[in-house]
Amino acid sequence: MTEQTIKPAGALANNLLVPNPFATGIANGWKAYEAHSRELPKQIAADVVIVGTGAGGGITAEICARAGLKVLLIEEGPLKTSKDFKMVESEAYPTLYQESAGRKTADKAINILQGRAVGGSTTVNWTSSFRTPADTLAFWQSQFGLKDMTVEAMAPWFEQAERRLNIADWPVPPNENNDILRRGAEAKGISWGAIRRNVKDCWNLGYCGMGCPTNAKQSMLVSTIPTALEHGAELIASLRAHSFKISQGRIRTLRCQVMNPDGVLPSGKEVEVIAKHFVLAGGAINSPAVLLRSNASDPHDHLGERTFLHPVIISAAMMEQEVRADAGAPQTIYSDHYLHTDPIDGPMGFKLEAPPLHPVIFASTLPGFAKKHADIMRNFSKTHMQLALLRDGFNSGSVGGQVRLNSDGSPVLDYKLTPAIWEAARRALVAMAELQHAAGAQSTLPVHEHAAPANNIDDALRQINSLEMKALAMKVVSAHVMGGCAMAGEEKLGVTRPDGRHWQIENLSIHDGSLFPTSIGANPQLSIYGLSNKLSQQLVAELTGQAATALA
Amino acid sequence: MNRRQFIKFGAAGLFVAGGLGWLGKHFAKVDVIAGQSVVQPQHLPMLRALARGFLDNALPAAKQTEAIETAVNAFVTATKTLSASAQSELGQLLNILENPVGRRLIANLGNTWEEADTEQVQSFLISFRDHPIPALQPGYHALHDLMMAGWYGLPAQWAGMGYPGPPFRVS
Repeated sequence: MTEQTIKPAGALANNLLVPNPFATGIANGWKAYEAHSRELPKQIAADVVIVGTGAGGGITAEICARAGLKVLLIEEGPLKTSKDFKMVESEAYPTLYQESAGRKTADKAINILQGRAVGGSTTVNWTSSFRTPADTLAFWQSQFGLKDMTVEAMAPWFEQAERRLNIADWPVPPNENNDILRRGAEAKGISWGAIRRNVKDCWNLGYCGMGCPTNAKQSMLVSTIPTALEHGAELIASLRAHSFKISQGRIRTLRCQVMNPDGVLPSGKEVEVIAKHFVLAGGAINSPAVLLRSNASDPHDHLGERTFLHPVIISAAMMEQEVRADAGAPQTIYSDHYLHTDPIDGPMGFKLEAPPLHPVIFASTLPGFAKKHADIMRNFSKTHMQLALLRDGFNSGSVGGQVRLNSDGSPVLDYKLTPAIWEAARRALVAMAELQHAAGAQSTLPVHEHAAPANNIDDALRQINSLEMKALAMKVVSAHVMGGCAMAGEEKLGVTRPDGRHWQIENLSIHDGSLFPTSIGANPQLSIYGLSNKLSQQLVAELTGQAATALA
Repeated sequence: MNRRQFIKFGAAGLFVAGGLGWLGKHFAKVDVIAGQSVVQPQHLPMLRALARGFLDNALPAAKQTEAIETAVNAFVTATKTLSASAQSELGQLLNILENPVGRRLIANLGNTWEEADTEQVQSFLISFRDHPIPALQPGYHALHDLMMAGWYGLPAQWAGMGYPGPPFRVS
């Protein structure tokens, strides 16, 4: 590769080419601002207060605001928009992710990528859009009393969300990183599919994970939140929902802390919020944490438990050709073959996908140091990577983690990597190495502290079978946090009712991924959109006595 | 692990287990102050040695001292936006490793950080990573991730890996 071809293409004023709804909206009177940018009143009141502006909060905000309710959105992260999205990891991760993209489980064995900005994880996700799989819904019906959650009953809610967010087939050919997954699956004769994406006029850049600089991704930041603001909602960013004051089964107030501009510590200023109804949509880990800090009633000890991660196991492959996994739509091909080889409650199944690679995430994920690490880094542009997302929460050996509070009140997830997970991890490494060698990999490398590149499938399998499966040696990451406030048809089985209302607190709903009683078995954004759509329309009907306007 | 290693690590492990109380007493919680890094001036010689150990072949042949300084600065920058609880833990870890007793307890490094050569630093890293007390191992990973994230976040490293950088500059 020559100097010429690897030079950036030069400056581009994206604010001229790409309309920024926030810039014009704020100029026209939208109430959207950073908490630290002005003096706030001691108390703010609204009809509905929504904590969190991700997939659940965004959908809820649009539906409530369009119904004429006075909506207040509270977001712990900053308000950043397309003009701030510079496609640079060292700026994006500290600003747009929970804990600077370094959130970890209690034993530090799993690194968790979760968004923290207006739009939540939808601002930084990789646009993969799947409806909740039929077998997951069937499991919820039979195990958690969620009788109404059939494929047919959920379909209209998903259809609306898909129309609203432009979720559709992606017509552009996959980038090489994804195409290797496709070719490997073809060569091994296993099923694969194309991933639908929530984009409009996408430039196929590959930087979805750092905030979309062209507003093509139909995240909450450019879709539902602008609509809510247009209908008079108020959005306060850099404001942390700390705890509810609850008495006699009702939330009386919500205590909020103004964050410093760097997002690390609260500034010391506080605001009290009152509302007729509260919707917690801070995402798994954070939503249970608000309730833990509030000493919320939890008679059956379910709060924060069964928090799932889709633990991700990684296999790298060194190819002869350029792969350039940094460029092009990040995730466009998947295989669910290994989700269907066993019963859903049998040995854990896994979904295969190919992730985008950029220098910081690649370098920090890659084990080892010095020559071993540097050699692989030099080969970055020829590296293909596959992920196996393990479907946790269905097998009796996979019960998820428990959200706890640190001494400073911040949340931490205690998630044990159990033998059932390690058994699946080894199978996943085998599956990925087979696909990668079948697609012509020169060598494959399980992302494990003690692994070395293997030059053929026999060596690869020998190595995988001898690797010690243990925390921190075998790299495990997660980008999907689910559960912890599970909905269930019976009070003793969960935290929330099937309509998203808290079993013990009458003016509280939960609308986010923490509702899921298991993991999803697919990237969860559309599951959250569809479910929040259903729950929000029910909520509006209850609060206003009028049917809600459909999402789309 | 063979028997000899087991005895060696096992003994070290017991020593550390006994020493943890001592460590906890002397290296208590580090307070995180808004806008300030938990990295202190006394940690810098250690971070320079760690940068040399971690990056080694990734460092340019020429102007290595400057490159190491750049790597340490990138490390420090990366620490500033970690969560307050992670920063507090990191500050504690750096205090322990900077202390001669703590350093010897964790991974048997007898030299000062200035004296330690690259090979000694690297064997320290391996011992730390594979420490018989699992609760200590995350310390290695915290250093690894911050050092690698800091260094490879620098645009100067990108051409060498065939990464052209963002397709355009957002202005």
